[in-house]
Amino acid sequence: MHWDNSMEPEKQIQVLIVDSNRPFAEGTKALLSFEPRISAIGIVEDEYSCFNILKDSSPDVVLLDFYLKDTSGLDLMAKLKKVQPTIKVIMLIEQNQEGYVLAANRQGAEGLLLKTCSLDEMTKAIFSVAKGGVYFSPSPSAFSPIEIDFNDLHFPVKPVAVLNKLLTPEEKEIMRLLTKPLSNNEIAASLGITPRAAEHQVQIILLKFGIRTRLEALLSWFFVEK
Amino acid sequence: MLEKLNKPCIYYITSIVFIVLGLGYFFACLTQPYIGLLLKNTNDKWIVVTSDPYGEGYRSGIRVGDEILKINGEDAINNRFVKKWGEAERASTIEFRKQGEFKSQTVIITPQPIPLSLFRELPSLILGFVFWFVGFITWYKRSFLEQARILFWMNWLIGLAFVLSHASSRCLFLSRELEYISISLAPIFLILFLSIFPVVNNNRFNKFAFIIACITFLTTLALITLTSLNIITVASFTKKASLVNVIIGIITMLFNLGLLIRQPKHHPGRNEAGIFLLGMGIGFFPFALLSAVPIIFNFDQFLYSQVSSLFISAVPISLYYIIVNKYLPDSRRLFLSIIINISAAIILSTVAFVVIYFLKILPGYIFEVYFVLVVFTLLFTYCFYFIRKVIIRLLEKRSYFQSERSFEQKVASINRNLASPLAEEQRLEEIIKNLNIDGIFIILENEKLGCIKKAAGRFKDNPKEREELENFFRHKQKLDLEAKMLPDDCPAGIYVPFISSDATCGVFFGRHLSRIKFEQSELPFFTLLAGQLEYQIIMSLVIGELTKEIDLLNKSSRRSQRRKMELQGVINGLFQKIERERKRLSENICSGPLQWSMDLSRWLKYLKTISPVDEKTQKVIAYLQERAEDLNYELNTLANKVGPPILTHLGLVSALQWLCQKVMTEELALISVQIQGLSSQTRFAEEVEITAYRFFEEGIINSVRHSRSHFQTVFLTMNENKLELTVSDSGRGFDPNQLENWLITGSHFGLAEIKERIESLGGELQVISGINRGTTLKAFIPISK
Repeated sequence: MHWDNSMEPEKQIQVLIVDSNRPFAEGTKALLSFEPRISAIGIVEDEYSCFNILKDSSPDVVLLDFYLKDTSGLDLMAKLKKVQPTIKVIMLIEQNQEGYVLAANRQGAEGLLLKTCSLDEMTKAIFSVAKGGVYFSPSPSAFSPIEIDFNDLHFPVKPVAVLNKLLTPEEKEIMRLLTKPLSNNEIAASLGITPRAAEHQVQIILLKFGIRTRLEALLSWFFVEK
Repeated sequence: MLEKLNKPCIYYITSIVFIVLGLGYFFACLTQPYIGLLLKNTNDKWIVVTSDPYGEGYRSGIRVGDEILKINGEDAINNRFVKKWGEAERASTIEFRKQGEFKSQTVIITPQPIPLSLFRELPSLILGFVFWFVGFITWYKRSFLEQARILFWMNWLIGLAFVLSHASSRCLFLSRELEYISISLAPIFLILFLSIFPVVNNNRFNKFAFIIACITFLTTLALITLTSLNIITVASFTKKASLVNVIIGIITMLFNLGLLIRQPKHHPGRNEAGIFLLGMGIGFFPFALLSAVPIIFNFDQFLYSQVSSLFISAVPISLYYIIVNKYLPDSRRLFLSIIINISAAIILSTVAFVVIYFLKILPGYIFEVYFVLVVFTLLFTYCFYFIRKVIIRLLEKRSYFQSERSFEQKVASINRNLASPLAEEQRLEEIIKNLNIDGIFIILENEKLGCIKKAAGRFKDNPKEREELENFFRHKQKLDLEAKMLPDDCPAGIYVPFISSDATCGVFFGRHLSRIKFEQSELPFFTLLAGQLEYQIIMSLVIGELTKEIDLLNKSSRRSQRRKMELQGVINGLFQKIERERKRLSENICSGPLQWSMDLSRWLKYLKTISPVDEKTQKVIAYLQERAEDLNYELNTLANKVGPPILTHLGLVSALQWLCQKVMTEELALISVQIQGLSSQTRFAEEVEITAYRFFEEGIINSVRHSRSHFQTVFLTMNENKLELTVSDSGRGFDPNQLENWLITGSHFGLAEIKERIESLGGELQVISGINRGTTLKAFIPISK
C-alpha cells in the first residue's frame, strides 16, 4: 500500500472510467485531470460501450463502478480480464460493506476505493495497481470473519483497567448512554451530534475493544462502571 | 328371624304342612256334625247364647236362651268342650230344656249327608288354598322380593285360618288353637307387609301397630296355651284377643291405603293401592251383599252364602298381580269400566224386572229375584264380551276379515310410499286410488309459507266444495283438535286437524267409492295417514326453501371464492408493487443524490488540499465536508432501509451477513448465523431473495425488539429445491394463534405480510411459539434452479 515518489513511472497512465452515473464519472475525470501523470481516456456507462472503446485503445487501469445499468461490475471485470489479462481494475463502491470488499478481492480486483475517496488516494491507488501492486481501501483483512460462539463468551473482553484507559471521556459518556440503553439516533440527539457521528463513535469504541457487537461492549462496560 | 326362614325348603315344607292340615281337617269335618251352639254358664246353668242357624243344634230346635242339661248322657258341666270353649260340640245326644218350659227334651245329632256338608265346607277350603297357593306362586316367581316372601307367610296364615275355620267350629283336635294362633299372627305379617308394600313406609304408626300386634299375639298365645292345658278357661277372651289383632291389622291397612291414595298422581304406589282396593272391593262386596245386607234389612239369610266368600280370593290375587307385574293398568280406568258395567247391568235388570213384574210372571216384588237378575245380567255382559272376543279372534284367524286387514295394509303401504319423495299431486292421486276414496283436500297454514291447499279427486275440479271445506277448517281449527267423521251432507267424510308449532293443517278425506260409510275404527288410520301427509307437505316445502337457500349460498360462496382469489391477486400485486417501488427508490437514491453528494464530498476534500492555509476557509471547508459526509450517511441509510443495494448487488448471503452485523452493532443482540448448502455467490430469483431477506429482517428485528432475548440464531439452508429459513430465540414468545387475528386487525402487520408473501411464492411459514417458550419462525421457499 505504501507508495514511493521515486518509483513514479514516466509514462502517463491510461485510465478508463466505467460508471453508470455520468455526472459522477465526469467529476472523476475532472479530478484526475489535475494529475498530469494520469490520463482519463474516456468515460463509458455500460458493458457495450466499454468493449467498443477497448477496440481502439488499451487502458492500463479501469475505474469500475460496482453496479452498472446492464451488468454488475464484478461480471464486467471478469470479461475485461479475459479480453485483456494485463488490465488492472480498481472497483468503486458506495458503502463500506464487508460483502463488497470480499467479493472484489475474491473476483481478483487489484484495487478497491470508496467513491468518496480523495484525489490523492485515487491517484495513489491508480499508480499502485498500474505498477502491479494492489490497493484496497477498505482492506478485506478488516473484515476477517468472526464467528460468535455463544458458549465461549467472556466478559469483560479486556481487563477493566485497559478498557478504562482505552476510552476518551467522550467515548465513556457514549458508553454510559449505551447502557441505558439508547439507540444511535437517541445518543446523537442527546449529545447534539449527527447520527453518523454517533455511529462512528460507537464503531471506534468497538474497534478499541476489539469486538464487533454492541452487546459485548455493553456487558464489558458493566465491569468498568461497577 | 325372617332371614332364617328364607330358605326354599322351608317354603316347600310349610306348603306341604298346609296341604296336609287342610285336607286332613277337611275330611275330618265331613264325618263330624256341626252343632253350632255357644253356651254360657249362668247360675250353674248352661244357657245357649248363640245358635248357629246352619248348626245341627238349631236344626234340632235348640234356640237362644234354652238350657243345655246333658251332653252325650252326662252333665253339661262335665263335658270337655263345654268346659274348655263353652261349646256343645262333638255331641251325639243333647238333652235340653226350652226357655220357660220345665220339660226337658233329648235330641240325637245325626251328621248331614256328605254332599250337602261338602257343599258347605268346600268354599272355605278352596279360599284357604287359594290364599296359600297365590302366596306360594308369588314367592316362587319373585322369591328375591321381600314383599313376596312376607306375602307368602301372611297368605299361609290367613289360608290356614280359613281352612281350619270349620274344623275349629267342630272343636277338632288342636284346630281351634291353631286357628287362633294363625288369626292373631297373620296381622303381624300384614303390618310387616304394608310397611314395605307397595313402597317402603316405616312410619311411626306402622311401628306402633306392629308392637301392639306382637304383644296381643303373645298374650293370645299364652292364653291358648293355658286354655289347652286346662289351667284356665277364658275361651271367649282368647277369641277376642285374636280378633283384636285382626282389627289392628285392618286399621293399619286402611291407614296405609289412605296414605297411598293421597300420593301424587304419577306415584306408582297410588295406582298399586288403587288396584289393591279394587281387589278388596271385588272380594268383599258380594260377601257383604249376601251376608251383611240380609242381616241389616232383616231378610232371610241366603242359604249357603259361604259360596260368596269365594270372591275374597280376589284380594290375594290382586296382591299377586301387583307384585309379579312391574307395569300395571290404570286402576282408575279399571274402576270406571267396572262401574260402567255394573250400572249397565243394574239398568238392564231393572227394566227386565219391571217387565217380568208387569207380565205378572212374578207374583210380587221379590228382592232376591231382582238381585239374581243383576248378577246374571252382569255375568251375561262379561260372558258376551268374552265370547265376542273369542269369535273375533277365531274369525280373524280364518281370515274372514280380509278386507279390513287389507285396509290396514293399504295404509301401511301408503305410509311407506310417502317416505319416498314423489311428486305431491301424484302421491295424493295414488292414495285415493289405493284407499278407494273419492278425494283428498289438504289445507296448510304457515306463517312463513302462507296458506297452501292441495286437492285430489273430486275436490280438484270443485271449487265450491273446496270453499265449503275451507270454511269448515277455519271455523273448526281453533275449537276442536279431534279427528272426526263428518255428517252425510258434507262433501268430505273424515276431517283430521293438526296444529304443530308453526303450522295449522286440516286434512279432509272424501268418501268411499263404494258409498260404504267410514267406520269409527278406521279413524286412527286416517289420522296416521293425515299426519304423514301433513309432515310430507311441510317437509317438501322446507326442502324447497332449503334448496333455494343452498343455491343462493352456493352462488355467494362461488362469488366470495372468486373475490378471495381476486383479493389474493391484488395483495400479491400490491406487495410486488411496494417492493418494486422500494427498489426503485433505493436505486434512485443511489444513482442520483448519493452520487452527487459523494462527488461533492471528494471535491471538498480536493478543495481542502488546494485552498490557501487560511483558517477561516479551512473551517468552512471542514464544516462543508462534515455535512457532505452526513448527507452520504443519511442517503445510504435510507437506501439500505427501503431496499439494501447489497441484496441486489451481491445476493442473499452477503445481505444477510451485513444485516446481522448491522443489527449487532446497533442493537443489543448476539446473532449466530449458520449457512448451509449455499455460498455468498449463490443467487436466486429476485422475488425469492427479497422475500427471504424481508423474512430475516422481520424475524430478527421482532426478536431483538420484542422477545427480551439477546441471543438469536439464524439458519439459512438450501436443500434440493427449497430454501429453509429459520430465526429463533429463547425469549418470552407469543401465542401463535394470534397470527390469524393480527391479519384481521392489521396489527403486527409485518409477520402477516411476510406470511402472505411467502405463500404467494408457494412457500410456507411456520410459527412455533408459546408464552415463555421462545419463538421459532421457519420458512420454506421453493426455488427453481
